[in-house]
Amino acid sequence: MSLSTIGLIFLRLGTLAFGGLGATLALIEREVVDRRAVLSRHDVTDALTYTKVLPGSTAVQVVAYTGWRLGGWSGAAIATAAFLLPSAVLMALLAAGYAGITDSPALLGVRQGVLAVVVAVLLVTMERLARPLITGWLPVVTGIVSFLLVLVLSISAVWVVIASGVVGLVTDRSRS
Amino acid sequence: MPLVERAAVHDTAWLTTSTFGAAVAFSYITPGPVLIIATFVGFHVAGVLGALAATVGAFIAPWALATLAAQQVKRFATNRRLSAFGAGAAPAVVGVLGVTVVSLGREAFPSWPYVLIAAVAFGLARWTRTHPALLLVFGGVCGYLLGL
Repeated sequence: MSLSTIGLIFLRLGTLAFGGLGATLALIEREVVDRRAVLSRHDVTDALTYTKVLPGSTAVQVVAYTGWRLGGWSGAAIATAAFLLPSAVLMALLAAGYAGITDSPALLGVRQGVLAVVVAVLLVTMERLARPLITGWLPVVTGIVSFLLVLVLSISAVWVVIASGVVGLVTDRSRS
Repeated sequence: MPLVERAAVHDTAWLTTSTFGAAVAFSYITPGPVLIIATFVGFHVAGVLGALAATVGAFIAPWALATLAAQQVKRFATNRRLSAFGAGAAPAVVGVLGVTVVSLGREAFPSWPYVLIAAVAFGLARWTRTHPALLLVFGGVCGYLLGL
């Protein structure tokens, strides 16, 4: 498949992929499996399985994985860039617009209301992420200790996450 | 996302907490991944070039990892060390997300009605399939009415 076709496919996906990973997967399936039949449904499932264990945004990684299957390294690069372009442009425009309205008192209430909802949505996200992880005391302790280390002692979040990964490695080794 | 908050608000003070809150809202409204919030931060700090640098920076590592994984499918998927590291790090990510929620929460509730807005949004997000973008619009409208 030509690189320009890959670019066009993923540009479309990037414009339509409202709603995160689920929407992205559904769109990829419809485009490359149903409409163009260049990959099988099984390939898309594989893409999800193998990228889920990687750190970073899974939706982008499914795109990169699929792009590689369609056109190697350059296919992966084109697919990812095209997929991100629409939302990146939109975000930059919003950032530019936001700087202009920051000081308007009429919109202070709007910003406060949105912020309250953001807190609520993040709490729900936290709960969704946490629930499958609670498999014993260790993950619970790791989560709480990480929370406190960053909140109270202001330790860099990156180091806390890496240290917890190392704890995961060590406990896995001692188990086997 | 909590790592972006730590880096952009806490460590460098590029953004205020309330601007970061707006960026989170925008990242839910735009298509694509939530990590696109990096573009907002980049633009806010250094304009178009900043947006470009931040976007590339945020996505290059996940992109490279996924492409490598595609190339070496079998070896990667069965890598026990990688999944043990991931399993150990996941709860820490949730904990750090908690810190982000706390720092946003400190500024989100200037008066009681906003707590009510958040409670309604929480209920809808938790027990219905309402799209986050709709909830954010709901919050914005309520906040506008409160500010009149």
